[in-house]
Amino acid sequence: MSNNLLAIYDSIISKQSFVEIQQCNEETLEYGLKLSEEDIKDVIDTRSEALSSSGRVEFGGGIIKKIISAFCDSSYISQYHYAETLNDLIETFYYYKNETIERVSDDELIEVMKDYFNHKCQGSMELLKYKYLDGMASNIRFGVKDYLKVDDCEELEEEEE
Amino acid sequence: MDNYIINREENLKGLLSEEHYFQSLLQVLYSNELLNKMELEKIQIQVLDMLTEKITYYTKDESSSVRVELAEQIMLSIYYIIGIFMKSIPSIKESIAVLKGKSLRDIFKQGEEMIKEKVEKCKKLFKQVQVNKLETTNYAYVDTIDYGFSMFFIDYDIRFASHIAPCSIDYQLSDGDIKMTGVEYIEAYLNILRLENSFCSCFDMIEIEGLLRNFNRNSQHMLINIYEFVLTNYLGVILIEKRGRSLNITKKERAYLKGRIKNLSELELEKLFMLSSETLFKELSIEDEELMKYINKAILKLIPGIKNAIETNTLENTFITINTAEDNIIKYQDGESLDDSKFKSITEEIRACSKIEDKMKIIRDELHSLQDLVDVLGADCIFDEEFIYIFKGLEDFELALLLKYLPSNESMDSDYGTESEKEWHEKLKEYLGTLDDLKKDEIMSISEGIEI
Repeated sequence: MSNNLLAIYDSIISKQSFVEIQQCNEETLEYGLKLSEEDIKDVIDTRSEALSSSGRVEFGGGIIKKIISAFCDSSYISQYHYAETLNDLIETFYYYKNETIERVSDDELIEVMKDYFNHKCQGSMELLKYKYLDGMASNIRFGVKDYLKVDDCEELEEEEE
Repeated sequence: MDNYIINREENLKGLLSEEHYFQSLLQVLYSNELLNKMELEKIQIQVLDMLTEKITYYTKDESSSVRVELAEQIMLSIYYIIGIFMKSIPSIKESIAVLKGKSLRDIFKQGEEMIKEKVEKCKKLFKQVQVNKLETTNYAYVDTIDYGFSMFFIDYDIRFASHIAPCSIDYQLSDGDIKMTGVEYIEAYLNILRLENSFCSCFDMIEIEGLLRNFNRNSQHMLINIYEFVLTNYLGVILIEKRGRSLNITKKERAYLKGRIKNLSELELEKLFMLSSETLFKELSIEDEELMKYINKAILKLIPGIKNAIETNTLENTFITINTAEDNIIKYQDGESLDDSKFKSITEEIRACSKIEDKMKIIRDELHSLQDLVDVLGADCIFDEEFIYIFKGLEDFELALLLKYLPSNESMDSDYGTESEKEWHEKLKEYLGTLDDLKKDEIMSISEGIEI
């Protein structure tokens, strides 16, 4: 019964998300970015799949909107691959919510992703996921206080070698 | 017609689950068209609102998503709290009126208050149980009362996991089929334990301990129910028309008892036992109706077992003779054990010796307690045939004491203990096997007469 109810909830959130994302287009148009209805459906599906594959359930929604707002001004995102990047970012977000064992809030994770993406990764999703976010997640799991320092750990390892 | 409807509604009560009361109530009402789809959805949306609010509290509004397991747990907790209140409503008809007329949030609040009251009630019940605790050596019983519940009163989480009772309960009740969870489980368990304690406290504790020991010498390590043993034997005492509060049934008395009941059918046994329970209540001056009901329930449960014991000729395990010879047991008072650092240095010294004669000398000179000797044997400092040399150098009484540490086949499995412990157990058995029968029997009989 509880599972059914959670599924109902997910469908309600998905419906709300559609309108929310449509409204985001007004904000992103300033940066030359726009999602078509088809793109929006894709993004919503990605969110549902990402939640399900990471074994999570979302209450209140609003994450897609936050990700769009945070990344729309990135110089590494163009209309050409906007939808694709957005889908990737959503998947990455939920994956690392689990990997960071709930120690990082939604806002902090989005902020960190944005910072890495725009600076150290220079728009590379691969670097963002497999180097920086992985490094950060592993720092968190091993109790490293300054878990955002991913480069430094690697440099230290190289120096030791 | 009205009567028919009332009866139909009230019959549905039997379909409700004690454990998942609210969920089953919704299902039953919906499937019997006492709640329509819109009404059900309205309730579900209210549950989701409450769930969202709880999750926000849980994540301190820092995360909009949580793991599914956590969301389900919090949802079950909400259902449980609402269920507690709904259970208190006497009829299905009134339950429907409440669900349709009241907001779920109000029901939830009332449920929360009821749970808080139940926790307070449990605290009082637990105090009573602690005060009336039986002076038994049964490990599961002692451990459950001394440590098993403390966790509950510290860790019970009404906000997010009200349906889970964090506790460590090993002791099995006679009527242990409690189909409840959370604080309701603790309340029901403590209530039954209070009744069982109250019954057992009518008897001499030394006799109860003797009864359990005669059932099995390792009864203190077994997951048994003390109340059932006491009740069965006392029922036997009543059946042979003995009076007083002694639990003992002699061999002759058991034979008489067997003659009295062996040809009775289950129905006749039931009649006889119910008559005997009346005598039992009078004899023990039991007036507590709840306890009387509980005893009668347990007595009826005994019938198939007793029938089976008659058929298999094993009535001596049901109506137990308390062997007074057991009382002549010598209680061994162990010497003073070494402190940890001294013990460590001695085991290192033994390990460093190349000759077994030197090892034996250190053991003789430095160890003054049985526990230290046992610890040394299992401390990886004596190896292979050295054990046999050590055992040869011990007195019969010392060997008899060591025998007490061997796991018995009946209650312990052969894997009990660490590898090095198992090694000396095996070597001791091997050494005993090399002794002549007379010597072996002597050591065994000394061992049986000692309690450590």
